[in-house]
Amino acid sequence: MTRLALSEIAKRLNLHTETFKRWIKQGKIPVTKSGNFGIFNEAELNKWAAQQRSSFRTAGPDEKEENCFVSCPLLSAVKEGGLFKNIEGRNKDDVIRSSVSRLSGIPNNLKSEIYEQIIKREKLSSTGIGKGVAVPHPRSPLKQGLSYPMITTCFPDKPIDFDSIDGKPVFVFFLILTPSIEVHLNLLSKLSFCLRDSTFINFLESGPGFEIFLDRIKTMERCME
Amino acid sequence: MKWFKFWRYPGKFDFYRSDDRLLLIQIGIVVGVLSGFASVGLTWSLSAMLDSFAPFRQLWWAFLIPALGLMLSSLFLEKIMNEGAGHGVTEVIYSVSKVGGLMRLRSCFSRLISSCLTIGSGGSAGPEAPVVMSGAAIGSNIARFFNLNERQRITLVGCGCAGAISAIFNAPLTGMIFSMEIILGEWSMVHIIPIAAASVAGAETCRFLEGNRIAFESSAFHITSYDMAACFGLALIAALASVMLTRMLRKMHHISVKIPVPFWLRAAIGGAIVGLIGFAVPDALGEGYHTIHAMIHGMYTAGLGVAAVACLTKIITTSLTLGWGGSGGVFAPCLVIGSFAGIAFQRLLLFAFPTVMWSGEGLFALLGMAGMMSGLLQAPLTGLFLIVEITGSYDVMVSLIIVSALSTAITHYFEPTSFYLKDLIDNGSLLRPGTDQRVLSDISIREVIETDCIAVLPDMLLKDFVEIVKKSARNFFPVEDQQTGRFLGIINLNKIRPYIFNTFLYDTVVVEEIMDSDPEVVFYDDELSDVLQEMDSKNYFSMPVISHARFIGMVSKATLLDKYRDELKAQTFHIV
Amino acid sequence: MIKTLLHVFRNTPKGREVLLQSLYFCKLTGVSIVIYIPEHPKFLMYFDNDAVQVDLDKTYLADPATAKQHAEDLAEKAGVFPKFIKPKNFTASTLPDIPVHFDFMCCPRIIASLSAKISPGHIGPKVRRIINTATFPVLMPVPQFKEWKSLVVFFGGSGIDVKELKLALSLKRATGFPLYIFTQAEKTPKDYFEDVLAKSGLDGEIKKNVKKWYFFSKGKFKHNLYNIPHDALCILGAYDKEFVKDLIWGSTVELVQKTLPNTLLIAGPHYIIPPG
Repeated sequence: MTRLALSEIAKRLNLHTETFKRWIKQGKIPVTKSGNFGIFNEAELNKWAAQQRSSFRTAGPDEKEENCFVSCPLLSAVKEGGLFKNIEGRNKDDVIRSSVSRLSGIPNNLKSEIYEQIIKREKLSSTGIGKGVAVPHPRSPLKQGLSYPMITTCFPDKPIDFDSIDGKPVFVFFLILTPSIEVHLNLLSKLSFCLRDSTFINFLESGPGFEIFLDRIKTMERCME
Repeated sequence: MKWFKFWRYPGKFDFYRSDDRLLLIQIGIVVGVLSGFASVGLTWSLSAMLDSFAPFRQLWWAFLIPALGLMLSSLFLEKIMNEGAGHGVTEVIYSVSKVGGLMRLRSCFSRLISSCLTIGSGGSAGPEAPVVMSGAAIGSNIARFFNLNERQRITLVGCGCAGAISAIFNAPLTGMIFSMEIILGEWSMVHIIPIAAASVAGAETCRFLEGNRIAFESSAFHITSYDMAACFGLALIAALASVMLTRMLRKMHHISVKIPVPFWLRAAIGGAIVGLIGFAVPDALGEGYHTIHAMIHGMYTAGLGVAAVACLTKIITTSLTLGWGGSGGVFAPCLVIGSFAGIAFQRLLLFAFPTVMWSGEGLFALLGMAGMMSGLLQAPLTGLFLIVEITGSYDVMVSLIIVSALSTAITHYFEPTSFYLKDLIDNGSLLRPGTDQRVLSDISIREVIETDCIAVLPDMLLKDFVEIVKKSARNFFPVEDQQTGRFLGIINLNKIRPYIFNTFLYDTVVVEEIMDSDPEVVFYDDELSDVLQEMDSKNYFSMPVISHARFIGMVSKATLLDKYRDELKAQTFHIV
Repeated sequence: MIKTLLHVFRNTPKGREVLLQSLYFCKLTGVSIVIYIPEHPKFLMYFDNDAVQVDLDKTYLADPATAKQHAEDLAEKAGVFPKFIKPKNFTASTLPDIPVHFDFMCCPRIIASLSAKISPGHIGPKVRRIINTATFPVLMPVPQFKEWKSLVVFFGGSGIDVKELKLALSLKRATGFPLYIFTQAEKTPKDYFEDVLAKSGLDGEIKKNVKKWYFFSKGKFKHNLYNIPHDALCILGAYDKEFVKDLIWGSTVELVQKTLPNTLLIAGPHYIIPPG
């Protein structure tokens, strides 16, 4: 016999407390009430829950609250991705291939897939967003092989033609790899907030080191909040 | 002290936890025995009263006896017991379908005494409904004593009814079927076993106290194909009689409430009229079992005209007694009217086809009863089994089936709801298990409400509002007064979508200008079925919920479906 | 979520005092009032495990024409938005069912028509039964309207849920009035009570919110009640359901009711603390 607060059991069963109380009263659920507590047999309640619907869980209140507005700090993604300078390559495809090959923590067979996905996306329309900046990313979020979103900052050794909207050659691009669409959108909007700032572009043109770059992102992100 | 408390909560014993059927059977037997005692007690006191009044029946002032009886009966119910007037069986069905089988303690005996006064003094009513009511109340109160939950309580109410019916007719099968068909409206294994046990217990109690007697034992009938053909005609007659009784009962009630006299005087007037009619047709008084006896045994001698008049008179006296303030049921009068109708029909057949060898008149009386019962109660099985059991003649089964099925169907054509359920259906309080209304009435608005809407103030700029839209997961934004918190209106994102991207309006438009200031709302304590009806008729998918002029949340069809399924599953879990 | 108080309105000067009391309570605690103006001399309340029929005093039906207007005027003056309920269901044609899903109910000491037979200082049987079965606490006002400016909770140390303390704390949060605890300990040491508090996890909150703990280990309960401020709302828990009921009921609650001129708020054994 287990004894738990009524609201606690209702939460575990994913039920409204009122519904749960009413079901006890009406005898629709194998739980008896004693004051503010419910008394039940764990196995029996599990059996009942399984017969009701699969989403009932009696395990414990460990499931995370689902939220459609995922917030992911830009800083950690940038840190995860790293910063690479002097990426060789004469055209768009070349630089993307060599930057993908430098990615850390990703198995090689996945790298070629990532590359193909990015190129596919580029064919749809260029990710060069102007002012000499581009944000290449795969068409769809990566299903596996990625536990944490990463933004890799890459400086080609010379500006590359990226078919940008304003026609300017690209001197820096951010490779965005994320596990889900929500995170992707969140990071992209944060990044674009930074890139709207022309002083930030100037800062990038100066070719900063990784540490200084992270510091700058940190301050920018604080501004956003 | 501790053990005493524990003992009052048998639902918490480990032994009964996984399957409470055993518990319900045990308590059910107790309930059955107690309702058996109630019914035997009523029969005994009734016959004592009838015997003591018998010598006065021929005196000129005998019509005052029913007047006095009805007056005392209504005074007792209203003033001493403080029961609101109501029909016994209807009240039991109400309590089962609406309040989880809760009944007042006083109902255990109040109807017994008042109906004893009514019937014993000569009022035309039956002792069955009062016994059913007290049986049900006994079941309910025992369930309350043991702190059982609603489902178990309802089963015990059913047990009480079954025990009562089976004891008063010495008919265990009928008790069981009556309880399932009329009271509970549900055939499920969890109910059947305890109810069967209670039914047998009730019948055994009655047999122990009164001996095993079959109420109207009949000799065997030789049924010919002519008789079978006659069944169809008889079904029609019985159906017409039951329609007439139903309408007459209602009409009498309507007439009586219009008479501007106190209720006890009204009852007395009704009783006096019944008494006066009784001088002309003595068979129309009382519960009338001895008349049925005579008819089944073929000892009723009157001809076609007398039988037909007796049938009509009985309908009138019954509706007078019950409609003007007497207390009792329609079961027994129904049987009497049915047998009169059967006899009348048989006399008619004899007159029309004198050459045919008809089976005895007892058969027709019997079939008439079945037809009348099934027609009035809209319950063919109850009528059928009652007649089989109280007459002990299984050889008439086929003709009984024909009559009761046909009579139910024909009556249904005129009166789509049975006499017991009419008022309940009119108020929307008949909720049979597993139906849409049942599910909807169980769920309350507070369980389906979505409270995660973000409230905004009326003087907010569109610019600021857009910021709030970003944060919200919902399409609706209630507008509330800053000081009082009163609900002013609601913003539906779907309606303002074209403007919210227009940055020119951001600083010029305030929330007050874009809100719907007079939306259709529902209230926090509304019934969900009404809310859904409102939504359906206006084609809404969600509506704001208001309480005390404040916004509480939204109720939407999407959430409702989710809850609805859960509820239906939980509700039908035991019906396997 | 909006909390509600059920008030059965009696359209008489005495009934007005009682309504004023309810309105005062509602205004201070932010509870909304639901008013029932009886149209029949009796009504039924179906609780979880009991059906209580209340046969009202005849005065409850006095002058129905002006009743609603009177109630509205009073509520408006108090600044409380009233809601009137009409019974939707009838058990019998003259016997309406009143819903029971409220957070409080206002019951004068006696609600049933037997009033003449009950000696002063006793709680009527129907009111007792309501307290005993209801899932909400019952507000029992004094006959004359009297404002209260502090809260006193009677803490007897029994009951694992310490519901009366939780109720008192929620009222303290809503009203901001000072809160006192009253304990008649007899022979039990104070440690025991503190232990109960610690077990229920309320000790911190109690320390923060309670102004003073009247703790009596000697003297008669009846006499010690003199220490209770005259303008306090007294919160009591009536616990055990069976035999103990009569012991505690017979003594504590009735005694308090008899002795104190204060408005009482009584939480019965089936009282459930609402979430949040």
